Amino acid sequence: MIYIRIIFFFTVLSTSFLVSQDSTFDSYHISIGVSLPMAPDKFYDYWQNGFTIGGGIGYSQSPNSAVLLSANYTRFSLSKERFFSGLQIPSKGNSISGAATHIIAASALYKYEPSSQAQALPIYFLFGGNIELTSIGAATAIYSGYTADQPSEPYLVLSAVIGIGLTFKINPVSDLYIEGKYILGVLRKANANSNFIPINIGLQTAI
Amino acid sequence: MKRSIKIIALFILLLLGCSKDDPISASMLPLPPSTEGEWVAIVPGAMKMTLQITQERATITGTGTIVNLSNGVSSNCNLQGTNTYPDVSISIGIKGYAPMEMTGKLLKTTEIDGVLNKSGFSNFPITFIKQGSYSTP
Repeated sequence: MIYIRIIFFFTVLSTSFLVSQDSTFDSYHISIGVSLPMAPDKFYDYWQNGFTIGGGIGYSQSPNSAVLLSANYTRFSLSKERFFSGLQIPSKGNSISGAATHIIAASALYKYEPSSQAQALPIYFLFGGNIELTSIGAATAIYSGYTADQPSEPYLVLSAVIGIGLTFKINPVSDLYIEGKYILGVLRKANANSNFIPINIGLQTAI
Repeated sequence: MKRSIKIIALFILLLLGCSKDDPISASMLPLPPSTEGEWVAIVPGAMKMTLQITQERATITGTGTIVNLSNGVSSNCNLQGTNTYPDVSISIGIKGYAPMEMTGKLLKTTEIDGVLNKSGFSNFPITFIKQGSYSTP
C-alpha cells in the first residue's frame, strides 16, 4: 500500500510540473557536495556526513521559475566509534563493517527566483519531491567473538524537498550555484534513514 | 503566478497527506546479544530466581521473583544493571534486604554464567537460562 501511495503522489507531482510543457528542456545541471544525516535519531547518531553527486535537466517556466528534474546518489558511512558509543559498549574488542546508507533519488523540483535582475541578490528557492531507493548495506559485527549479520535492506521513500541557493553567472550561458536542501521523508518505513541535508556546488548550463 | 500557487498547494497537500509513517519497523544494524527476556536460575533445594529483563542499549532494568524452595516463600525483586557484552552485571534488590549483585558472562545467547555476591552470598555460582520469547507490553 505504501508503494502505491508513493507512486501516486509522485506521479501527480511530476505530471503537474510537466503536463503543460510546450517546449523541450533548456538547461542541464551537474552537482557535487556533502550530505548531513538528520533523522531518524539513529541515522543522525550513527552515520557520518556523506557525499552526494547528481545531475539533471531544467525547463524554464518564466524568467523567474523553472522545473528541475534530477537524479542523485548519496552515500553515508557508518561511524563505528559513534555506533559503539551509542550502544554503550567499548569499541575495543568489537568491530563492525558495512552498513553504509545508499540513497538513489529521482527528484522533481520547482525553482523560483524572486528577482532575475542583475543587481538583486542571486537567491532562489526550491520545493518539490523525491522518490528514493534507499538501502542500508549488509553489515557484519563481531562482539567479543560473537558474530552478528544484518542483510542489506532496500526500501522506497517518498520525500518532500525544500531548498535555498545562490547562483552566480560565470558566462552568458552558464551559472555556478551553491544550494542546500532539506530532504524530509514523508512516506517511509519507521526508522528508515530518510531525512538529510545535501549541500551542493553545481554548474547549470543553458542549451 | 497561478501555476506557482497550484504547485505550492500541491506541495503542501503532499506534506499534509503523507506524514504518517508506515508501521513496519526496519531493523537496521547487527547488534550484540541482548539480555532482554525471561531468565530462570535454580539452585537445587535452595531457591528459584525468575528475572524478567528489559534492555535499552546497555542498560538493564526489570523485575523478578525469588522463591525459597525449602519453605515456598516468594519475594519480588527489582533489577538494575548493564550488559556490556559479554559482561553482565545486575543488582537484584529485595525490599527489606541489601541488594545482591550478580556478575557474569553472556557466553551463549541463552545462558548467563555468573556469581552472586552481597546480601549473604560470596562468589556463589549461578547459571541463568533464557526462557521462551519475551515481549514487552
